[in-house]
Amino acid sequence: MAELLQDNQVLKVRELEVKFYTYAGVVNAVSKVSFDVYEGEVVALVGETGCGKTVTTRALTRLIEHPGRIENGSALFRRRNNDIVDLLKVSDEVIRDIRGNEIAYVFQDPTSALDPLYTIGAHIVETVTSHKKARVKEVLKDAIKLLREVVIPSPEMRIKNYPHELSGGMRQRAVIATSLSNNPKLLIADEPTTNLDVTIQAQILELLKELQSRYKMSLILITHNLGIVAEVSDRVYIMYAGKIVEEAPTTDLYYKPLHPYTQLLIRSVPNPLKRIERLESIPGMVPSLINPPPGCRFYPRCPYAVDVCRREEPPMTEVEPHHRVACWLYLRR
Amino acid sequence: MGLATFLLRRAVTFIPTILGVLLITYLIAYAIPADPVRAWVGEKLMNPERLQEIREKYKFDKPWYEQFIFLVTELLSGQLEDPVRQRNVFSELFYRFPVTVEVALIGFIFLVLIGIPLGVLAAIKKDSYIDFFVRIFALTGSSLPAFVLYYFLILGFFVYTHTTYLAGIPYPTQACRDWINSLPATYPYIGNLVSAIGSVPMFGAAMCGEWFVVADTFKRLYLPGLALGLLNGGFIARIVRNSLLDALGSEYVLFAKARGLRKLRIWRHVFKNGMIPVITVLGINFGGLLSGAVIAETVFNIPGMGRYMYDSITRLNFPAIIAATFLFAIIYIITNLVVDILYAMIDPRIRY
Amino acid sequence: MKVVYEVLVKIVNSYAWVRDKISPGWSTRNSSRIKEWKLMAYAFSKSKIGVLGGIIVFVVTLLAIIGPLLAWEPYWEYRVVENPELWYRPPCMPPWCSGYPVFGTDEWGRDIVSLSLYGFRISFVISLFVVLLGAPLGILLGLVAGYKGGLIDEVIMRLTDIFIAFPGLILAIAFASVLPQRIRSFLEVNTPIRDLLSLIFGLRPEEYAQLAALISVWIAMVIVWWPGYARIVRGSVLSVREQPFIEAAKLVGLSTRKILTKHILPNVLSPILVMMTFDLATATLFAAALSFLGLGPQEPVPELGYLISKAGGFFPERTMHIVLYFGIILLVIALGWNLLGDALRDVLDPRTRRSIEFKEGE
Repeated sequence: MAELLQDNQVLKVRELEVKFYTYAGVVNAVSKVSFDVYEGEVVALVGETGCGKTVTTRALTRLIEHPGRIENGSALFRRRNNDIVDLLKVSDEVIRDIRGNEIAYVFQDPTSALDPLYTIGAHIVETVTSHKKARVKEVLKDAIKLLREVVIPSPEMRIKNYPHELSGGMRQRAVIATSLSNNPKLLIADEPTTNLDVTIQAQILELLKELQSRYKMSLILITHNLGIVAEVSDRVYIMYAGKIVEEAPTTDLYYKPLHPYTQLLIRSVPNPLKRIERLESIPGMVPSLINPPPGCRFYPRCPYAVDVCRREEPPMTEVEPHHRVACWLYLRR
Repeated sequence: MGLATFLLRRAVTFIPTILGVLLITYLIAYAIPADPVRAWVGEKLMNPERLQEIREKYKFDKPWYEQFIFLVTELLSGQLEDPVRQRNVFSELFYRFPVTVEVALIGFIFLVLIGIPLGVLAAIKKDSYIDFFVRIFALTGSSLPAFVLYYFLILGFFVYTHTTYLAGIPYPTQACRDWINSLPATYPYIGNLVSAIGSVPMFGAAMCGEWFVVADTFKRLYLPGLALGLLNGGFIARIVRNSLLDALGSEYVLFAKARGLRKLRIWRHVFKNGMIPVITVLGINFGGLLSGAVIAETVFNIPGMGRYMYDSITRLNFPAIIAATFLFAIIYIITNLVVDILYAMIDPRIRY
Repeated sequence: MKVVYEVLVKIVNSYAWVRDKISPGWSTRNSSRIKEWKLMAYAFSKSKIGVLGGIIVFVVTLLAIIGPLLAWEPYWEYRVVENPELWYRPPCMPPWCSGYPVFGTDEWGRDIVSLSLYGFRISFVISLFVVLLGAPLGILLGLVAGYKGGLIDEVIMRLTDIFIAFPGLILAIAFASVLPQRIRSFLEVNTPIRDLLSLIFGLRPEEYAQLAALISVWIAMVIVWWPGYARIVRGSVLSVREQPFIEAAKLVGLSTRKILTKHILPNVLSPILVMMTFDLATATLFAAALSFLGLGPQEPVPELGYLISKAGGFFPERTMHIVLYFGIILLVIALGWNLLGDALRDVLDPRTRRSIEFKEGE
């Protein structure tokens, strides 16, 4: 059993496939995605809108709903009691137990994530009592402490507030508090700052980073903002059109981006210190995932594309220690 | 801002509306044709002196603003007299009003019993045969002429199978009624409230423990109730279904699932949010129930306000029509106020 | 279903052709709108409910228009006077009883089928008039209230609240019971109006007293109808008003009227159209209910609700055929509009429309 996961490994996802059976056809949202998460690290999952990052993380706890379906793959997870389970294959009751308890989520829009008819306190209480027996009074006391940790002033009052009585930033903090209430091993934050003001963004990020180290959680951070990635993460996975195209420790990625897509991404962030004539963007559009062409999915937009790219999909290869990429440029063929 | 302040604000806007209702009621009165008096007196009793008497009494010979003031003061002081029955309009309505409340309530019960479960089922089994059936049920229900349905229901449930009867309505015993009427004397304020509730025959009987009367009431009134349920149930079911589906697809439900809440808990979230628009619709529909009471009471021979209104129509009894209209409006306004209060209790966002 | 689609596309194309004649180049400028309409036509033609509703509405409209011309028995002749056998005669098939109306007669001995041909016209026209008058009135007031805001908004909203405070039928009863005499005197004097209205409803000018009752039902219903639209339109206007593109329009210098008609109204139109369609069903039944209560036209005018109420006395022994026949007619008319409205609602909502389109592999 021990070989399945390394000692400090929390999550091991292999060949994950998620398809959506829509009116327009079968959308291959996530195709054979594999990644790892280790204890106490911050992993960034980067990609543009529609590349499948959200679907990937939702699939982990089987939050995918009709017309989506998890078709294939495994997601080995080390639970608190050191049991290793495949999240995609355990019973419904087990996955329910894990959700909100050992794996928690923070969604993009804090306003819609909270039920407008329930107080902040009610949200936290029900999250806790769904996983262990506890008295409401005790839970509320802990909740106040929790709100304090996420830097919400006068938490005793805020506990009784309804979501609409809080500002956007406070709401997101409340959501984070709710997600942390059971002390999860893995926190998945899906674009947690996209809907917030830039100044609040920085605060929330700092908060997440601090909580993560204090609680010794692993954090998967989904974002399309490379700035955030650089600030906060230890390792990065770059996703494109439902596949992972590059993975590396953060500094390595920025110093030496291997995949053409990564390079273009990094180039498109303007350097405020340099004077530029025009903004760089990546020409072309994301391909349709309904009947994806056989070769590399970036082929149509890749400036270095060669013939083999059109015909065959490149496998992931390790180019440098811990730095892997799926691109024919780095394979001898 | 709390519940109390909200309610206060709500009650304050009540008053201009009532004034406006009075104005409309008056407008109707003003449009009264020049000579209804003939119809009131009836051909037999017709003689010039009598006509003149009535004309003066209702101030028909005075300018319109005097007529208005007369009508309004009479109405508000509860002294408006019904020219045809020659009795105070409100004493008539006083007895009929609880009966209509009874009919509307039983209709409402059926509506809720039929509409909500169907709607929930349609939401759970979306796009199934049940869902399709609910859609057809809603469309048919809103296309059926109510009175035609009433006739056929009477045919089936009364003429061919005597499961109900069509005369009068059950009242609690005299002893019970006396006791209820004595309540305000013994317990001020609360006694008034309880006595008012007890004036509805069904509730009065229940208070005295006279359950056979209550059962009899259902036997008498279930048919119009069922009819109302069939006519509007589909519509309510659709609203419930759509509203529940909206709630089911929302982010907070997803977040609830992501937090590992148990199924029952998640449904609590869905229901609480889903029922809000339903309450609004039910409130509006209640107005329809009141309106429907007119036709239902006529066809089912129920001695309520609706029937009173119908009888007044046939006799061109305008003061009666106006008094009844006014009373209906008051009931409806109060119902809407109750709905708003319920709404504010459930949805904290509204309290602003 | 394909036929329906082709017919609708032809209509769209002819409309575009007409607009082109008025202002050349219209179809090229609005090509995306035209395409959207054709998509809507496609989605509509796919809906069985919609097509069924459309067919019913079409047939009913046809009957309403040509009914009185087709009717073989004038409704004002009381056949039973000469031939007592015709009193509430039940339906019967030709071989057994030739010479008698197949579907039976009413208490005056009139063939109920012939009667219904007049009935279609009356019910159809009244429902149409109510919605075509009440809706624009309400929409106008709602637009003004929502856009102007301030005092005008308050006044209009108070007015709406007051009218909405009355349960619909109750208010209509009150007005409909009180207006006939006045209208009657009005019609006595204004013969051209009387003749025109009689023509529209398929009645004889002699029965202007009954016409007066019909008109008062109409006016009473319009009074009940407009507040609903005013409220909804005002709500829509309030939400659209704050959007940036309205501000942009103001900055560019568009007049209030232009903003209202060109930008706000189109955004508000779709749900209004659906509501109007449903309201045509409601109005049909509402008018029948008022007539049932005795507030509409009486003898000899064959208003469907009134005929049913007269038949109620002898139901079911002698008048089952009458209640059934006229009841079904009312049901079908209302059903037609309701089905149409339901399909229209799915078609006009862009989300559901897309899912219908994709199903066929657009």
